[in-house]
Amino acid sequence: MKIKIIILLITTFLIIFFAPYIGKKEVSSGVYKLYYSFSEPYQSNVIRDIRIPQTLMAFFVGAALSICGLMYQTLFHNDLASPFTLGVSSGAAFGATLAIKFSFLSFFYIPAAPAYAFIFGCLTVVLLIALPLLKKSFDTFTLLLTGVALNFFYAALTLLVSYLSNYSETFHIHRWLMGSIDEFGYSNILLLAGLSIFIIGFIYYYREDLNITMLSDETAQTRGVNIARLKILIMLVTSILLAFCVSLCGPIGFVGIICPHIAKLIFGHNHRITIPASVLFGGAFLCLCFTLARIIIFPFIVPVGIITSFLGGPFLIFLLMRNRSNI
Amino acid sequence: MRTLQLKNLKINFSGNNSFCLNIDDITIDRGEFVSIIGQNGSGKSTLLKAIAGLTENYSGEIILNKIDLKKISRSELAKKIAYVPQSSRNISFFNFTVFEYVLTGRFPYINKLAGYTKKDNDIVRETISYLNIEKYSERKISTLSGGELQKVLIAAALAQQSEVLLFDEISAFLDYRHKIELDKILQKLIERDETIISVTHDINDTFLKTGKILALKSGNKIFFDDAKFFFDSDELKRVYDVKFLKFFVEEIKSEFYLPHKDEN
Repeated sequence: MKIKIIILLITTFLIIFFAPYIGKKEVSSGVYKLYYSFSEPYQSNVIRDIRIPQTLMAFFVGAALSICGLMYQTLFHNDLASPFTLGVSSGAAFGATLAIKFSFLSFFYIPAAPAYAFIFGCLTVVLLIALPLLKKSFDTFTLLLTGVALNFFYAALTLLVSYLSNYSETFHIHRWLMGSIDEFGYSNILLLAGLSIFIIGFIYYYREDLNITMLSDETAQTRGVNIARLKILIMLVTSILLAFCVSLCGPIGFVGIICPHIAKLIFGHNHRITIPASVLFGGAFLCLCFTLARIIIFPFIVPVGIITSFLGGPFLIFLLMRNRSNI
Repeated sequence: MRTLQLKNLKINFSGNNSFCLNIDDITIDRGEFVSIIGQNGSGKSTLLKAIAGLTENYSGEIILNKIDLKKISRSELAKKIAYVPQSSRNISFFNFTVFEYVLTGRFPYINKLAGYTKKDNDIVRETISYLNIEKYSERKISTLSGGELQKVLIAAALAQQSEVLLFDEISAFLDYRHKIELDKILQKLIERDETIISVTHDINDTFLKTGKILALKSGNKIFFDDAKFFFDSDELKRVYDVKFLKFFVEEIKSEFYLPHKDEN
C-alpha cells in the first residue's frame, strides 16, 4: 500500500513538472535549465505565462472535480454519482450562458461569464440545501431527484437562451459548455489552490464519518454520525468548490466520476486513503488530458472536456461490465 | 443504577397522524432483559428506533440516568445506546472486513484529528475474541453467512460499550445451530448485567420467558411485566388475536406455545 502511494505521488509530481514542456515547438530542450531563470524571453514566457499556469489549473480543477465526485458517490451510496449529479454545474452553465448572451460587463473587475457562472452555481447550492430542509428530509432519493430536476430545468433554460442567441453568441456558449482550460493568471490559480486545499482538509477531517456513512445511513446514525449535518456540510463545501471550478473552466466531464473509481479500485474503500488518492489521480488525469488536448491536433488546443469524456466513456462501460461488488 | 424511562411517548408512524405509538410510562432497570412483542405494524421496531435515536419525530421523553436522550449529541447518544439491526436487512458493506466493521463501533470515542487509536483496536480484538469470531475477523463482510454476520453486528454494538443494547429481531432467519450460538452469546451478556431490549416474533424464545415482556397492540402498550405473569394469564391470545396451544416438555421442564390454526 505504501509503495503504491509513493508511486502515485512521484508520478503526479513528474506529470506536473514535465507537462508544461510537452507540446508545440517553441520550447527547445535547452529551456529545462531556464525553468526558473527565464533568461530567454519568448520561450520562457510561453512556459511561465501560459503553460505552467494552465498545468497547475488543470491539476487543481481535476483534483477538485475528483474529490467532489468521491463525496457524492459516498454520500449517495451511488457509484454513478458525479459532481454534475446535483445540478450545480448546470446552474453555473446557465449563469455563463446568460452572461454571454446579454454581453454582461465584468462583475467588480471579474470577467462576466465566470462571475455569473459562480453566482448561479451558488444559488443552486442554496436551493439544494433549502429544498430538503423545507421537506425536513435529507434522504438520498430526495437529494438525487432534486438534482435531476434542477439539471433538466437549467438545461431547458440554457437551450432557450442559446436558441434566442445569434451565431456568434451561440458559438461562445457552445464553446463554454465544452469545458476547457484557457489562459489564467496566477491569482486565479492561487485562489483555487487555497480553496481546494482548505476544502480537501475539511473533508479529510470527516474521513471516519464518511467511512461509516458508506455502510448505511441508519448504521451511521447509531454509531454517532450526525448524518444530516454531515450531508449538508460536505454538500455545501464541495458544491462551492465545484461552482468555482466550473465557473473558471466550464463543465469538464467525467474526471469527477472516473478518478474516484480508479482510486477505489487501487486503494480500496477507506477514505483515509481514497481522499488523497482521488485528489492526486484527478489532478494528474486532467493534466495528462490537457497535455493531450494541446498536442493532439497541432496547432489547435482541443477543449479538454472532449478528451476527458472521450477517455471516460469507454472506462465507464468497462466499470459497468465489472461486477458491482468489486468496485 | 442505570434506568431507562419512557414518559408520555407519542410517535407518529410514517408522518400521518392517524396512527400513533403511545407509551405512557415505562421504566427499565439495569440488567433487565425486555422483549417487545406484538403483531406486524404494532409499533415494535418504531419504538426501538425512537430509543436508538433513529427517529426524532416523537413527543414525550426518553430518559436514561436522568438525561433526556433528545437533548444530547449523536455521538453522546451512541455511547449510551447501541442498536443491532437484523442481518438479513439490506445493508451495503462495501469491502469492509469484519475487523474494520467492528472498529466502527469505536467511532463515538475517537478524536477526529487522530482517528482510531491502539486502545480502540485492542477493544475490538477483545470483543471479537469474546464472541469467538476470530476465525473470520479478516474476512470481507460480504462473504459471511447470515448467522456469522449477525454475530459481527452484535460485536460492533458491544465495541460501542453502551449502557443499553437494542436488538431488532436478531434471531429471525437464522438456522437452529446459529440460533443456539446466539443464545449462548445473549446468556453471556445477561450474566454481565447488560440492559437489553429485544424485538422478537419468537414467542418460544428462551430469554423472553425469563425476562420482562412489553406487549404492543396497534401502538398501545397492553402488557408490561415479568414474563411469568404474561403466560399465566390469557395475554398471548389478546396480543396476537390467535389461540395458542400449550405444550410442556418434560425433559427440559419448559413450556412451549404453538398457534392453533383452526380455532380463531
